[in-house]
Amino acid sequence: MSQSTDNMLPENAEPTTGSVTMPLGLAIVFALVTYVGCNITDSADGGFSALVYAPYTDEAEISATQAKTPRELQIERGAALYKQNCSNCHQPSGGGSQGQGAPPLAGSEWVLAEGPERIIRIVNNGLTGPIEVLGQTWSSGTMTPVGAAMSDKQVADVITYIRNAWGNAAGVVTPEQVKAAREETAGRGTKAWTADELLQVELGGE
Amino acid sequence: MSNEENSVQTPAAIDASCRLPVLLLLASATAWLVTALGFGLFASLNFHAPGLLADCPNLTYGHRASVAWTAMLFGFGGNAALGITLWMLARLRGVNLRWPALAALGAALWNVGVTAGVWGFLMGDGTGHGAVDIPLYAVRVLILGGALMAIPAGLTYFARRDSQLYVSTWHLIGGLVVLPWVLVTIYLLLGNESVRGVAQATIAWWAASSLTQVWLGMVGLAVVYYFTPKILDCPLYSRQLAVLGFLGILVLGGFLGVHAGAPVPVWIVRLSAFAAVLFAFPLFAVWWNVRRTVGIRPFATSTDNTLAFVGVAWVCFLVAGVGTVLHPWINGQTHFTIFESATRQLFVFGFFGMAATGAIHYIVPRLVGAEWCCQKAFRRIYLLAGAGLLLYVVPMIYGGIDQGRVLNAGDEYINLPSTALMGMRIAFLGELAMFFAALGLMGNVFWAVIANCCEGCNPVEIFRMMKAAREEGGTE
Amino acid sequence: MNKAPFVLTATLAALFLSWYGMVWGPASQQNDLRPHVAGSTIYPHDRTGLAKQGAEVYRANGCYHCHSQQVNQGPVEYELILLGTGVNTELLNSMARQEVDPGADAIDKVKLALLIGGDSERSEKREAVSNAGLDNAAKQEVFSLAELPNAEAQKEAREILELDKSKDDAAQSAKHTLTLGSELTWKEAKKKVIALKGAGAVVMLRPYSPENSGNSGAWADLKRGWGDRRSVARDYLYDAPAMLGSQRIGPDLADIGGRNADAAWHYRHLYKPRSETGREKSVMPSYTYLFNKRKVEEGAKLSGDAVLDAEGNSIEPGYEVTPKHSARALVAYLLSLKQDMELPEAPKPVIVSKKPDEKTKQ
Repeated sequence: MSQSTDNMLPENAEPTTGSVTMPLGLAIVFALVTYVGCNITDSADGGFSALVYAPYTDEAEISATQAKTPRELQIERGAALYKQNCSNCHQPSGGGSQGQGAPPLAGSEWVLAEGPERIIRIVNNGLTGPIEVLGQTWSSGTMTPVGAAMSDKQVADVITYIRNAWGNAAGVVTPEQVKAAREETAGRGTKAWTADELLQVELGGE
Repeated sequence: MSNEENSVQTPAAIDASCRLPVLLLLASATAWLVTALGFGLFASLNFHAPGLLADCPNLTYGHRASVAWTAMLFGFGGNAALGITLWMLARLRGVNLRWPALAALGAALWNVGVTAGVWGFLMGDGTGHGAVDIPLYAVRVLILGGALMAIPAGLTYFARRDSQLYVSTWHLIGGLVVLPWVLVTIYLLLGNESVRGVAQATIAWWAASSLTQVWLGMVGLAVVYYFTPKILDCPLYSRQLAVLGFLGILVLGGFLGVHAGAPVPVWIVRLSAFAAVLFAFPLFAVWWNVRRTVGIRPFATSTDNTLAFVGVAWVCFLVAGVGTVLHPWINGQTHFTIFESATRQLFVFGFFGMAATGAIHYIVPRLVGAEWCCQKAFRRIYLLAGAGLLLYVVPMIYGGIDQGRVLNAGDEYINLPSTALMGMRIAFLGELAMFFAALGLMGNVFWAVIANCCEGCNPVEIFRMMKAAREEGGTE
Repeated sequence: MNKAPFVLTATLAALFLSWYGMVWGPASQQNDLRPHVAGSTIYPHDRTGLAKQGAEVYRANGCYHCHSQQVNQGPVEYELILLGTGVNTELLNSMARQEVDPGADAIDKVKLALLIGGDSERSEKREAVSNAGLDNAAKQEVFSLAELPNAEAQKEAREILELDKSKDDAAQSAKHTLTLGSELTWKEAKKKVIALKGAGAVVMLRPYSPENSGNSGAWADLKRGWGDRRSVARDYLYDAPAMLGSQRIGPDLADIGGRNADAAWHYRHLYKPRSETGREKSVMPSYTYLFNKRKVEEGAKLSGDAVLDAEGNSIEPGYEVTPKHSARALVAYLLSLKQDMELPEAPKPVIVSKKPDEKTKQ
């Protein structure tokens, strides 16, 4: 280890630094560029959202760009009606409530049936007595005729919503179908349906 | 520690203290540089003979490309950066390197890690994470090896109390901090299931950018800031400008390099573009600082080889830096093209490689205790590497821009355009020149080590003895 | 003062910034992303079985060095379309009349009248025709069409409004939409959208590529048919690793399964990349080691999964070439690379400029 001290190669002293200060102009330009850059960046950073991608610049642009078909609009309106009129018992998740005797709507064979005739009648006139939903019999609750106070269009909207929410995927319901069902059952008044009565009703295709 | 140990040591004593680990690191660095450029050449062959080795599952183009890059980044870059860090830290703190045996063990482990990574690539274990696709088991070894070297470096750094630290010291510490940070992030997050989808890609970009721009950038700039004033024997122009460059690169480096069309939320793209624009300031600081230190004497007229290499490194840093600043404006055309390979090589080989070669040229003779046996060889290495770099970078940039034009035309894209292929063919000659320069460097370093450190097996002595013996035999 | 700890602390703090922005931020944000659910379709899915193994083959062979998996898209322009009128019809009326070019032809004005039936006189009339035996949807139109000056204009309006067509969704939306403006940038559209929404109207922006975009390069991927929309983070939710790639030595593969689902072609291409016209200069390596090669008699019957050339002969005359398991997996993976589902954050823009008639293969 000692040989290197013997043949020391020539070299200069370790370097030192001068004390020249930062040019004032550079500091000013740096501050300016940083300020302007922050503004420009902020104007198009999508609010740091995970769902805004170039060339779009904010979430409003993304949502305004979404094409809404009449069906989607109908579902949107139905969702608002559901929240007001139905979610208290059937829950916002459509899972139903044991305490209130409200069967689930999500995945329910009554909701997802091929045609909407039975579910229209339930919404219009209400339901009483035991009903089997998803293999479980519900008998404690009575459903009020929530649809009675709604227009044909509103009933169609809300049923379209429950048939297409929470992973449900069934067809749309038109105000005409609701109107037809109302006319057919006009003699019934406001008497609630029972499950057995409903099973007599034709489902009606799409 | 005794007071004696903490007092300023002579350069010779410091050199003696770090001889084993630093020589080990620098010598392996040159060997890895040869490996990297060799595999790079081997990979490029595929563009000229695409059917090559179609029956060999271990040597696909992808494997060769991964090996070339990892050998360059962790093999050459890692060994050289750590070797330079250990030596320069000890020199700048004026104390002997602490625990050199531990550092040597770390150096050995580091090389085991890189070797494991290279072997893993050939076995198909690359992780697929862009530029940091080194297998995680190799990363584990790298972390361990790096830690064993970081302990002596840290102890050396904290060995004395000073009110002033030289500019290069901060840069070395910056490099020492970013390396484990990135490696641990790669190890913990890129193999982790909870990091999903494009977050992996973003982390890989950050890691690659931090390893090149920040880690290699810090060590490369430490070399530039150290050797320029030392060899010219004048103070570095401005400490404050150096602070701007240092903090600028540390803060901005990791953000760089996200291209505008990337499938990541737009804020990541915007942030990266902002960082690229701000990068102009550290770039300016480095340019002005060195420019004013050197004065009107250009690096090129210096007869000192170290200074010549450092000068090329500085120019490459500036050119690559201008590319970085312009990235937000040009990446629409240059991303996905060979332009990116050219600028990466410009930074890693042109800037860091040349800086490290300059440092090796200065450090190794002091560690082995004898001047290079052949100074002329270094002039040739310098010319060969410089010419190779030009021959590689210029056609690749030109070809890449044209490839981008074709890609952006929106027509059918099946084959590389002929300009890009032609650029790659010319660049192949450049790669060849760089490869021979690396071979020359490795030969010189190994020769210096063997000739001066292995008394029993000194090939010069053996040759002389053999010659003498033959002459004796002849006269009989 | 001893500066050594100070420098170390400053370094750590400086590095933390980019780590927080580029590592922690994106990682936690992506962790919160959920697949897109539309009705009964969920996108994306995790790959299963063969395709999942294929991703490993793709990774292990380093395919990501030459192929990217990300479709780029340039800035869009918008058409502002009125879908529903909302409550404040008076405001909407005045706004819409400003937006629609006064020189627009009668049809646009009819559409406007259809959409804006707010004043009391109209509702009275509507009441009157409600007993005419027409179905609900047609009433409004018939009523408003009656306002047109002559029979010819009425006929033309009926055709454009597709009143004679069935009641499917497309016809419905054609009847009830009105283009209020086109070639709008987001900045221009924003003001109108906010005002219209304030009036309770339902509006939508339909994005399309500007015909003479100064940034035409950014549209190249979509024009070329490499995808129908830009790639976004959700496309890669289940990719581990997400091999976005950084080079296009070869074409982009983000939607390769969508644009070329011909497995036989992929086998052929992997075995002999330069066997087809137009691909003689391809620099793609041959991956023959992914295949088994067996000498067979001339004219012998080849097995069902043998790799054939475009004419239906064995790709290697005199031999039977069959894919190994790894080749099958790789092709299954390639076919699983599809970004076909429209996502809310990535609406499929309409390409105004020419699109290749036949989507280019790979």
